[in-house]
Amino acid sequence: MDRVIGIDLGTTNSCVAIVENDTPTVIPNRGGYKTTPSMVAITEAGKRLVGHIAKRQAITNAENTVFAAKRLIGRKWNSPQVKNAVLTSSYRIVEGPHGDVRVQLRTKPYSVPEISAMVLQEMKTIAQDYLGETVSKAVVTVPAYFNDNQRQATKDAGQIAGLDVIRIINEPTAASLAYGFGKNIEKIVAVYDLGGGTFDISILEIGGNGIFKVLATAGDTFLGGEDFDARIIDWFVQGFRDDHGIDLRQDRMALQRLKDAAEKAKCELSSVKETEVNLPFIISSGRNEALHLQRVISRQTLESLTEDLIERTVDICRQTLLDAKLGKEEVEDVVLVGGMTRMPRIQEVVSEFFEREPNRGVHPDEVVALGAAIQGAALVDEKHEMMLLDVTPHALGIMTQGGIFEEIIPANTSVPTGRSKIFTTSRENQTAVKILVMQGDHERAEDNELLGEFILTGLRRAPKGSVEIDVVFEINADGIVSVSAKDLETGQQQSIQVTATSGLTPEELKAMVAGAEEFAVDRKASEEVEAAIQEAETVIAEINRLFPQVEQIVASSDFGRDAIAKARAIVQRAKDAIQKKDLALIKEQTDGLVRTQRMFKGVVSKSS
Amino acid sequence: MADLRAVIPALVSGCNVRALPLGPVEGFVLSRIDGRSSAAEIALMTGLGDGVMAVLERLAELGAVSGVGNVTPPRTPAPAPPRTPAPPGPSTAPPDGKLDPSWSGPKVDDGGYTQAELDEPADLEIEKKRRILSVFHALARLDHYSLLGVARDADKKAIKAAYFKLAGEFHPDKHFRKNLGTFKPKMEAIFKRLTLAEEVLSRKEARAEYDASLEVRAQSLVELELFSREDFDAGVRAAAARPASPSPSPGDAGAPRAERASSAQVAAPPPPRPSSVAAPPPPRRSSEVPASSTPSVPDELGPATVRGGTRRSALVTKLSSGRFSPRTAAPLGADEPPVSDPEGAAETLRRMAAAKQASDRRDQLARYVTAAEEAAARDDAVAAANSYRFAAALDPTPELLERSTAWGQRAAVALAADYLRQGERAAAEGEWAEAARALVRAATGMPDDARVLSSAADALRRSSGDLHRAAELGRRATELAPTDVEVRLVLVEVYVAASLKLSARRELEAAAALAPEHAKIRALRAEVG
Repeated sequence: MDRVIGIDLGTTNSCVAIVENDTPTVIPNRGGYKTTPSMVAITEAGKRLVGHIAKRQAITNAENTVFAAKRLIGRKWNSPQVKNAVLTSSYRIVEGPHGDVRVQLRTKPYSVPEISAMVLQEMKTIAQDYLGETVSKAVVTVPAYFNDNQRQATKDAGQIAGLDVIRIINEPTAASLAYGFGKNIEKIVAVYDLGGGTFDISILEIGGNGIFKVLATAGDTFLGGEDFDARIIDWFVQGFRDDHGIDLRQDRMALQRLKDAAEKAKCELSSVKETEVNLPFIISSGRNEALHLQRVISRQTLESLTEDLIERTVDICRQTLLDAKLGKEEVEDVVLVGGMTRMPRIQEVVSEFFEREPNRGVHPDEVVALGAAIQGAALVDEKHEMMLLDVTPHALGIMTQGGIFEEIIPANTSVPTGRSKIFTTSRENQTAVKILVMQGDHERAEDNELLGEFILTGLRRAPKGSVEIDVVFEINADGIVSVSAKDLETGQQQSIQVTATSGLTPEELKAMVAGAEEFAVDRKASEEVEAAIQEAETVIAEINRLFPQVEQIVASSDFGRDAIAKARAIVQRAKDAIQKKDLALIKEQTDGLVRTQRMFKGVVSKSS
Repeated sequence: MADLRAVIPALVSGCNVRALPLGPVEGFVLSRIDGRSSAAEIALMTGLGDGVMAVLERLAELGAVSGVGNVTPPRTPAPAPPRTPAPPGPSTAPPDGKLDPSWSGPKVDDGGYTQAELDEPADLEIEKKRRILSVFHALARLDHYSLLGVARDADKKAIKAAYFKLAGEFHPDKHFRKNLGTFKPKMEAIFKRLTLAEEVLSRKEARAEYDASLEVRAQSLVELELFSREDFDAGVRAAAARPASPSPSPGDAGAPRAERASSAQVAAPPPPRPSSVAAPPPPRRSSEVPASSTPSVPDELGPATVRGGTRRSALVTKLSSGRFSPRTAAPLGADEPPVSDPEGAAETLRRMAAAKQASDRRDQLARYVTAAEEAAARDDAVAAANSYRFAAALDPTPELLERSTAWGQRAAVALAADYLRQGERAAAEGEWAEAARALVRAATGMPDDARVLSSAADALRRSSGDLHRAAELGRRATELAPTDVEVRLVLVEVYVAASLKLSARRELEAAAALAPEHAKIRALRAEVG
């Protein structure tokens, strides 16, 4: 039987797991880490880098390093979220040929599913290396609040990566599967999932016989750890401007360093009360003088900077309980998922809201992948007595006169499901109606996502409001939406199966699959070593370029007399490592190279 | 019952229906017989469910209907029987063409599906296929309670548990990526209904609303029975005005036809399954009881199943065609779905009836009230209850409802006495199965009579009937009469039969304490060990 891996494709980190001997297990990557950064980069030489290696070179290659691609997946170019990302990203986001989004890396524009596919392929490779066999099937998780287009785009990404995504499941749901797996409990559980990019809350009922029924789910796909980082960055940028009158945002490299530091500080503040951010030579002043950023940030500051973000999550929790028609007291356990839930203030707020201590039995970074693996195993192997009854997270309906969205299947309806409503004509002698199939929770149709459209013709000429049209929505177990409209008088019928688009045409998708297949072949030739060498060599070249200038500076001052010798030693060690093609060694040396390069650049900018 | 549902009854030409001693339900069923619809379809149309078989058999006995064989129902699901040839013509559509939205062609197998459906290739075991098909085809007939297999008064927890169990069984993920063919949409349809049922029943207001709609539906069916045919009205009047006529013998459905047809003086015993019959049977003249030992319709739908229920609930069961019985419906997919509830059919028929109704409603009402008052005057509780019930259905004023309830209670008691006599007679003749059926029913009408309960328990044990129920009846009897050693000994014997040694021993000691010298005690001690 085919083994199915579970992949948590996160905004900042991804994780892969499998069920082995009835035990769900997280598979560590080659570096021994259980999570892998969801980062992709293209080097100067055109090499593709994924994961830790991409993250490590992000500073020197910011323009060609994509992070948080998940925030763009399945979105339209003209959506406000994309507009916002265009302004804040260090990489270039451009418009694709179908109003979709592309990421320009070096010379090539990549679709977002292609970028995500690179991460998925990395996860697949990690699993294959661990299992020693080919893996072709996966369950991939998405935020519960993803719409159909985002889900479809994620599926497409899997396909490009050579994975048959047998099911897309929601992250909080997956977490609950891992939480309840093999425990034979009967409980109502809330899963509070604050990850790198998204916030989700789901309420589930776990039945004693392995049934997991989602009661309600909600969230915000633009609220996550990255937003917390942004608040910290703002705070530092503001402080720096106050001190030096310089906007660090103007310098992409400075911003990237600050971003890394902010994330690190945020994590540290979960365990200590205050931490110092120290970024020497972050930028040069107008008077050619290198400036350093050195400032202490306290937990309290962080909390006050992000109080409103936390409050937003609580509002969503409140609304979700309301939707589920549940009282707080009916929730019997609260599961915290996502790295952000390590923040003490979040734990406090959650316990205050639910009036109970959250469960600490699950690992917030790994539980989602574990749940995905469990769902995969349960689907392909009937011996697992487990069944997930999921809901549709958004309402489905059609647009009616005046641009009003008329809901037909409400949010949080268990799937498979089917509902219908009767509509009528809006004009005299109207002989055709256009059915705009939409998904979303906004009253105004235009604020929702358009999933498809079709026209029902041949209606009897009649005064408005006198022709009855029955519109039926169905969602099957695989989440496929089909919609039909029937003229109740003539029996005329039209229907569509909604195939959510990720902004790609089928031909394009096919081409991408083919392209990735080529890439996969290419990849097997110790691609990672090649990439590491490429990266190290790029940095060495840059250091070599700076050597003369730095030597001059050192010669004319008392400062850093050993720097040149040390730098040469580092470069030499790196070259040795490259010679040996020893991956771990190259990676280790590259860290030193990058530090050296950064320092050199700072010195040069200060003195030039 | 299984393959009987496939038969296609036809009217016997030249039979003077008006002259027959018919009840309202028989009249209603008669009006639906068109020579094209199968018994299963008629069950669907009339909302009588399985009860329609008993009615059809009786109509056949009276010579009004042909095509309903006097077949002994097989107890195990049989393979699809050969379909009775249908007359040419558009025979695959129900009479009015729009009764049931899920109606999709001939239904000839035990669960209302065809052999062709069962033969469709799919990666499913045959038993699973059968289950999916029979549940799928029963969907339109099942109300939310019977779909989930829970009692009308089931609490949220019971509903959840039932839902989880069934949802796990019918969710298509159970057979993920298997070739399921059209079984997949069928499973989805079942799952959707299960979810709807759970959603409605686990929310207070929605449930109250739904319960109310069930009442309305049931009432509308009663009205339909009244209004669907002219000659039918005559039948009803006759039935309502008829002085104490013989009552049914529960379990006589399978009595040889010749005997029934010839016993002209045995006028109009209504069908033997009160759950499917609107009218409670009139009291019997006991001298005319035809003892019958032939296999009979299983009685799980009868009021006998109203365990621990009050008289009132027994009555409600009778008066509402079993639809409101607080009993636990048989879980889904027991050979036949328990209670029928043709939502689509009822809706269409209700509309039809509503149109006809307005004109002669008042006359009708007056006739029923008069008939009821006359019956009440001569103290014929059953006839009075019957007429008042119809009157109250037409015009549910508090006054009529109250009278209907009051007379209904008296009728139930009267019937219980009747059942008791019948049961005792059968017991005396050693017909224990017959005795058990009658006595259990009597016990339902006399839930405070320890001796009746105990006799019922004893008869159940002797006839190798439902020992669980026997124990229940026995226990209640000992609670009512804790010092009655005979009652206790019956319970001991039930426990022994059920191999509940510890309980048996405990009861036996209690009995021994009451009457140490009792002859039976030593014998039982030997058995209990």
